[in-house]
Amino acid sequence: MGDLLIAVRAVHFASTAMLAGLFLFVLFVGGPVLLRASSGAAVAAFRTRLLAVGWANLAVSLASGAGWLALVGLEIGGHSSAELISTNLLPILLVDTRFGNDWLVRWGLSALLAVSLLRFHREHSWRSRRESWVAALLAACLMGSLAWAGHGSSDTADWGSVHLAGDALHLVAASTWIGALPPFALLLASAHRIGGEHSMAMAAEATLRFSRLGIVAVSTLLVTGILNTLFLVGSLPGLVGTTYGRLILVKIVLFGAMVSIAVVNRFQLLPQLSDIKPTSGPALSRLRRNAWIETGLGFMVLAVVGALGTMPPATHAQAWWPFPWRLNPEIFEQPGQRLAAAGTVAMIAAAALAIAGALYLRRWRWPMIAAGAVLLVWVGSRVSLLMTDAYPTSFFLSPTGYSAHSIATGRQLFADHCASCHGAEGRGDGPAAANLRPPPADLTAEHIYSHSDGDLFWWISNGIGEAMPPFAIVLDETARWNLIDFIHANADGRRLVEAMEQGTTVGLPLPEFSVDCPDGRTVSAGELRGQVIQILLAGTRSSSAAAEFAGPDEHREPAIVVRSAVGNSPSCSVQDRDLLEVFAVYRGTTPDKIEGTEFLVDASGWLRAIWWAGLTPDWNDPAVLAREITKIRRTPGQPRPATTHVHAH
Amino acid sequence: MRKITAIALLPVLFGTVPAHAHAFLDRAEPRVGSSVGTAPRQVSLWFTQNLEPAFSGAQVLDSAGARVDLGARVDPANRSLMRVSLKPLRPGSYKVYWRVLSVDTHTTEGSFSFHVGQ
Repeated sequence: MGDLLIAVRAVHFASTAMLAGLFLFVLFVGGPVLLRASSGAAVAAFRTRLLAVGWANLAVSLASGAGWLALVGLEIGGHSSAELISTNLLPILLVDTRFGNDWLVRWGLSALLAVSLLRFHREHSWRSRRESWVAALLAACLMGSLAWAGHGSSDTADWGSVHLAGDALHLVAASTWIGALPPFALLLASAHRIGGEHSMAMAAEATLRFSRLGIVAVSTLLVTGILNTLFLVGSLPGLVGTTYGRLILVKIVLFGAMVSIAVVNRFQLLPQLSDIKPTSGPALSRLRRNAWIETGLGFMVLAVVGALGTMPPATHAQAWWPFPWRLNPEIFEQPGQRLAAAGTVAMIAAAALAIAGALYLRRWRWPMIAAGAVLLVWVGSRVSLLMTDAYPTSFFLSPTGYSAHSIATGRQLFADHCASCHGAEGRGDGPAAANLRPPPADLTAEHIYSHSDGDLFWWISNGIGEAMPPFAIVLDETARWNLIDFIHANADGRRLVEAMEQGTTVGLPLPEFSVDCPDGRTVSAGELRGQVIQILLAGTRSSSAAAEFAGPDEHREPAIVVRSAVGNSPSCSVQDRDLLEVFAVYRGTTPDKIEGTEFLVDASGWLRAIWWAGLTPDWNDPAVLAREITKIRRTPGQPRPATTHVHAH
Repeated sequence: MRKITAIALLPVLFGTVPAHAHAFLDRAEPRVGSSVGTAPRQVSLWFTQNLEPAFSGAQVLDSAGARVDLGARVDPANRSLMRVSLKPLRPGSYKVYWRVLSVDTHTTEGSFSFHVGQ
């Protein structure tokens, strides 16, 4: 059914674009040009042909629209086609969903366009210029309202309406160009048939007007297309690494071909039509042929559009990186290499400028090409400076959302599968480490932050050399992502403890959590932002003031108590095994030994400090704790280098 | 050898790239896979897109497969949030099944578990 939906969508886009394009063509090109035409009979025949094209496309648009609606209904209901009619699904779909509402509106617009076609006269198009405007506006609405049936309609973000408006404009611009091409070709055919000086002038004027209309359409397509690509593809890996992105690339190539043909029409063929020359006849034929080629390319674009809407946008899919290297995002952060990297970027820009200049400055063409080539060779020898190794999964995003459950699961998996080589704390010092070449990596070292989650995923999945086996065979994908979450939390914990010992500042991300408050509300970590909060792991044996939260049962796990670090607000608490495990990872111990540990979280939600009995200075001294809190309030946290832990979709 | 392993694994990795459709579960309360001390009175499901209320639903089942929910509804003020009211839950494992239609006409479904009690 997926292929059928793609085909039906493609046909609907094509017929609606042709219908809308026809009205826009009459308004901006056909109407004004034909006003000055001399041969009444030939022009009337041309208008009859236009009208036939209009009716045919309206019929196909209505039929394919109904087919699209039926296919969506079948997919939603999971029903057979007989049930779709017998149950009340269709009315509910039409009345209660955005898609159905859109279809009702579009049927109304189609009816108005039918009235408009009835009023189209073969002698003089519509009666007035105003009626032509109204008809074109209705047609543009029919095309633009397809945006509400696409991905733009589901964008819930603040820019959702920008996305939707961009989509609608893109559709109207596409129909202005692709849909107006067949009427334009028909007009050229009529001019050819009539022949003579007058019809050649008519063809020249039509080409000039169509070309101006095309420039507006192409600029609109460019701007809105870039906007939509940013919304739905978002990144280079999304463009080259997902089916959606690759189809967008196909679309861009087809678009480029269409623009190239349009440029030839405008700058090479149009001048030959201007006066009667021996070349104007062949030029007119070539123009007609080019218009049909452009139409064909345009239909291919619309077929791609038919497919795009049925598949998840690249921002929602994992991007499979096709190159063995990628731009090193840290290159400009390393002081020693910053200058060299900037120089290389400047050289690339200079080489590009030289080659672009060679295209335009004929006199300097060969020297500039030579200069560009020399620069390129030089850059080629240095480009590795900017690059770093990459793997197919380098841009994969973790689907776990860095949850406490994921970190806790990863902790157990790490103990079972990784600790024998990498060590219980991930320092690369497990019992089996000694004989391994290369030695197991220290997963607590700073470098762990410079690899993307996707890099780690690749190494865990496929192993490294002979020393590390591929774990894709034993661990499912989720388990491998859980391990990565644990590795990050564990490295964070070591950094946190180290920072406490050395008096330096760190800011570490906490997993999402929520706590129950005395007033009966459940408060999430996000809602606690804006103040420094203290987290206490309170058990019956803990000496902290929050011991009462642990309850009377001695064997119960410590309660996680959360309260504002300043003032006297009531404490909230939660019994959460997973979260307890996470705090144990930070401390570098097991949950049964973590009682009495305290943490401080800053106003931005970064984990900033850890303390347990025996560490100096002693947080049990209110003055010491107050000093620590003041320090956290005064200095912003230094968030650890960003990983690709983007929110899960 | 390593290269052969890597190539052999490509389809495995490729095939398991999640074939996402369009409205995904962003987060849930109780959290996916979590253990909660006290029985929640409702399950909240946040999705990445607005939902069509007429064609979106969820059920919560206990470990014996019996329904323990009182129906699901999309929040009228936030159409990407669906709430499922619950009967009083005893300690145990529960599974949440959801099937939703996003406003761009794509149906998605999924499930997750949570645990009540220690």
